[in-house]
Amino acid sequence: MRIIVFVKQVPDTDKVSVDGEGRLVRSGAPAVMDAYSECALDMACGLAGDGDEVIAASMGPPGARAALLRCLELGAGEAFLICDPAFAGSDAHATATVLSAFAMEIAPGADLILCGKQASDGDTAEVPPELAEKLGAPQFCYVEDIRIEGGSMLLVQNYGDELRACRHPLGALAVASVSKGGANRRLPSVSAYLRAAAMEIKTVDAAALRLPEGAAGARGSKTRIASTMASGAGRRGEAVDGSDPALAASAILRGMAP
Amino acid sequence: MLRATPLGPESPYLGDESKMTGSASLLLSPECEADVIEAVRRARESGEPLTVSGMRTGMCGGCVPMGGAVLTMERMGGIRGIGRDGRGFFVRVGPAATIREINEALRSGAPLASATPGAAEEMPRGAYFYPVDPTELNGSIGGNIATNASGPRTLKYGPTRDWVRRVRLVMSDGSVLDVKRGDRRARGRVVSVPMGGGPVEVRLPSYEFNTRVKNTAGLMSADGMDLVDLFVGSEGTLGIITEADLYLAERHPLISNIFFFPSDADAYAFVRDLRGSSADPEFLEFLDSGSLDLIRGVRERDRGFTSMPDLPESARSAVFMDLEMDGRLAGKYREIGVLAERRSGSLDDSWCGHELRDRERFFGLRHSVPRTVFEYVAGLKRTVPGIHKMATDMSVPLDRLDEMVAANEAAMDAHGLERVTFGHIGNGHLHLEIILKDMRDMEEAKIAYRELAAKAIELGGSPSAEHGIGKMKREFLLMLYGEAGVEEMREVKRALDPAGVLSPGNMAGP
Amino acid sequence: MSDRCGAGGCGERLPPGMLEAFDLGSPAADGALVWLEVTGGPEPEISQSSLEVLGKAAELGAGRVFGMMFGGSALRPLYGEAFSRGADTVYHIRDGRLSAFHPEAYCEAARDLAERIRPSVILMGATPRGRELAPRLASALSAGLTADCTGLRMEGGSLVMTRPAFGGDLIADIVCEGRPQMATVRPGVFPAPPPAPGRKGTAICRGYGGSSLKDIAHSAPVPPDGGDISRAKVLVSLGRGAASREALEAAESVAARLGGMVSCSRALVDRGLLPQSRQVGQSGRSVRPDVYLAFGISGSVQHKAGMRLAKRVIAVNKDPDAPIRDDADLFIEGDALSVLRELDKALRSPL
Repeated sequence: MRIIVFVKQVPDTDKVSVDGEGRLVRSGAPAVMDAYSECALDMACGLAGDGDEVIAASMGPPGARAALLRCLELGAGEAFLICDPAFAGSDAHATATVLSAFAMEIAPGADLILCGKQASDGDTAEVPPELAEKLGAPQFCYVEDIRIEGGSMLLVQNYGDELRACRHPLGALAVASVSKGGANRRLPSVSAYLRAAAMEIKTVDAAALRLPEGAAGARGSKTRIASTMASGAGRRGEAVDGSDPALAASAILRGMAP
Repeated sequence: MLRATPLGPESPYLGDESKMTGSASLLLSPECEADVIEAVRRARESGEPLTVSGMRTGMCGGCVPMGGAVLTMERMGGIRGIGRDGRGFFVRVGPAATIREINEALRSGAPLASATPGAAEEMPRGAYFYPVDPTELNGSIGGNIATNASGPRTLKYGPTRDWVRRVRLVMSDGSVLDVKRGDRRARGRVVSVPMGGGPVEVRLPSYEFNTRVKNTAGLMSADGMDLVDLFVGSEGTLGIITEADLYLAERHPLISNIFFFPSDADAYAFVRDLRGSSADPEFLEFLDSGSLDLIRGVRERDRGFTSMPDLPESARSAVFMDLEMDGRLAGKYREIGVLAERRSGSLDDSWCGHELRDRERFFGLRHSVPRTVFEYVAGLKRTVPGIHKMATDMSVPLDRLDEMVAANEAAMDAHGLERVTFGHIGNGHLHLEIILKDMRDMEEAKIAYRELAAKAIELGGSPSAEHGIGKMKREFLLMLYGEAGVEEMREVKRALDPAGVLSPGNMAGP
Repeated sequence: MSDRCGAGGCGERLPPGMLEAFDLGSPAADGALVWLEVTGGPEPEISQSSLEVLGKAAELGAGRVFGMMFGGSALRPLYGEAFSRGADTVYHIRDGRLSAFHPEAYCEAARDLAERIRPSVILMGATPRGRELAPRLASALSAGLTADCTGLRMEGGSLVMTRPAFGGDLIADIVCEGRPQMATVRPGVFPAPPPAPGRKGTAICRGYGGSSLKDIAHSAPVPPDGGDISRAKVLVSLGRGAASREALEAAESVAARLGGMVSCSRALVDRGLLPQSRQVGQSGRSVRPDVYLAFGISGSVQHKAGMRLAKRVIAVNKDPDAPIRDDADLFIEGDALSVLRELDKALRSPL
């Protein structure tokens, strides 16, 4: 089986993290692999058995190499950085154009494409279905589990109000967006970490994807940001010292009635 | 202004993490040094002693009052500035600052004042941190100094003592003593301490204070000792800290690692071998087979527990370490690989992670064991109501660790006690968590505890490696130093606090 | 392949000129097409979020409002409801197999319909299924799509779509290049229009001739987990600083006593402490309670996007610089778990 996993590097929006001493700190948003990408990667690595192939790719700036290195550490056999100045400003439509070109030109014949459900820096969740449509493949969103049963895949999807399992024949391409599974995700062994450091991350540009000029980037996009403004939601009110929990609790009870 | 409020019998200021409860009628809360002087003046006038209290995270009742008033330092926090001297950068803080606050301030872009000219501007932001890391994240720095706190990273960085540049204290007579390292040293075992009525000559105890292992048992004493070291670890009995300078360490990117082994003995042997290698880990922590089984048990019910992959089935023990990510990392790993294979482990039987959020997962797993033990005991409570637990806190030199482990096992078996073992193995400091199912177990455990304390001392170790003495472990001072040594400690106390107004009941004091 | 039905059901004639007015090839695309998502099995209903979108579409002034629904003849009783909430025409893709959600088949049928009626705007609720169908359809139509909008307006024939943007507390206005212009609309933001009984419209049935159906091996309703946080009046919400079982127990108790529900940030979902249906934020639900109590929630942009409509926000956090402070009417600097426990204790006490 050939699995393509598309991952995305995003700024860490959980402003709170743990520092070298294990303490919670707010930090200046370092770049990390998006949490749902982690889920997709973890699922890809869990599915791949002997003889299967996991190809990781990320469309983004050179900084996305860190996410691809992580894919190699966790078991991807190959990693590609999809990077070209012409891709700047791509919306979901243009991104799907680029990723579909990758799937056709660089890693043809995949059985399964896995993506995160959505990325924290855009939260559009549009790319996987757009990609599936472009590739003429069925799409499976909100996937929580994939099992191989006989000659087919069983994809378990959670729609919030419905849990469904769909069968899909092995050998025909499916595009899945993964929404769960990151909490206990795999960690690399030290040997895998050392192996990955010696592997190459290949760069793929617009020419390698045979994309005509204007197919991607801002020109290939179907939406445009007309303007942005501060949300002005600030309601910063009173601040109270809560070092005495009992006093804090009564402040809350008083504060609930404005 | 010094705030004074009456204390009810339910007040949290009467206890700490030791579950011990004391008594006091008044809570005094100073917000500046003048308030502390005022509190001391009142104590001397009324004869009602003061028990100095920080964040009440201690394990031995050090801040639990025995009558009189509680002096809570909580309102005297703050990062007061950055300084620099011949050794390097330091941070000046109020006693209630927590290590978490200090490191957040050092990491963030928040403006900091300079304690020496230009220091705050010269220090590259985010490049320095305070490296001592007690498990309790929210203890106050005053408490950390008063107990000479340590943590896993003590392996590489030493205990709090090594990082204290200067302390400023209000003494028992209301005078202020401001002393930094190098200002005043003992001549032999006699040190001169300036007080309000002139210098007081203090004779330090004649015992040899054990600094070869993690040790918080008793007052520090050594020939030619720096005066600062007398106050570090004095548990609030000799003066009240109102300000401190702490040296900072350079921050390095780190990678967290776990190596799994098929038996406890393999892990012990691996750690012993590792100490002679180039690995130079930030810390070395250990989980035994019992600890791993407890984690597996909780995860059967709660898959999300510890946010980690399933522990490998073959793993019967685990060694955690953080390594610096520098050009030597690959070489260190090669050496670790050779040592691990010698003990039936390998670089394949490991996990690693360097992103903050992965390192947080390692941290979570490492810290899950005490909580798991707690939950296990809580679970047993439903069927055995009297159940309880007890944790040892003994360190020995690393080359004697095998003997201590053997003694632990023998004592537990001889007394028929259930236990798990984990902790700071790199410092020869393992916590034995003893699970007590009934009163018989409790009595047996008390005997075993004393036997093991004696064994730790016999092996050149300390019966109180990091929790301190407070009011609960005073018997170990007798075991270590004998009646004469304890009396010498009392002499120091009498010289500096003749009226007995400061934290009565801690350590050797009456 | 299409047959035609009138408002009263199949067999009646279309109003004259109907097809000509909205027919193929017209350069001036016009009207708004809305997917009417249907919930419930034997007695289907138009979902609340679709009614909200329908109301907004009618208010936009983008021309006629077309509803589109998928399923068997059991949907016929819903035509009237759609008209009464603002639809002028309802297209019913009538095929019993489509009563279950099949995104590929829905997309094919919707694409055929859109190519036929040439709407200027296509809207759906930003529900899980809406957010799955819309991008596939956008791709099939080469249309621009904006996800999870919180505001929509027409400016000179262009749809201006508003959504919170990443990178600060920003609101972005987004427009599409070309037609149709597509958006999914966040549930709970716009009010559902009151029904206008007796309002008439046209229903047109079409068949589905394709075969892009999924092989659904198993489908089961997810048991409701005790309510819908987007409709709760009081929310006790937990974040990373209170992501523990102990905190959850205390929060459940507090919520029960205040007549509210427990919600959370992503940290708790990631740890498996609460289901995703309890998550507030851009990747979770948008909520609008009277009181939002945030314990240990730092307030990421994504989280705040979901709770902005709360009437009153009280936040407890150890970090005085936590971003949520800017969105809190009352901010308490303290330990989330201790305060939560005390609050529980205070609510338990008979006084």
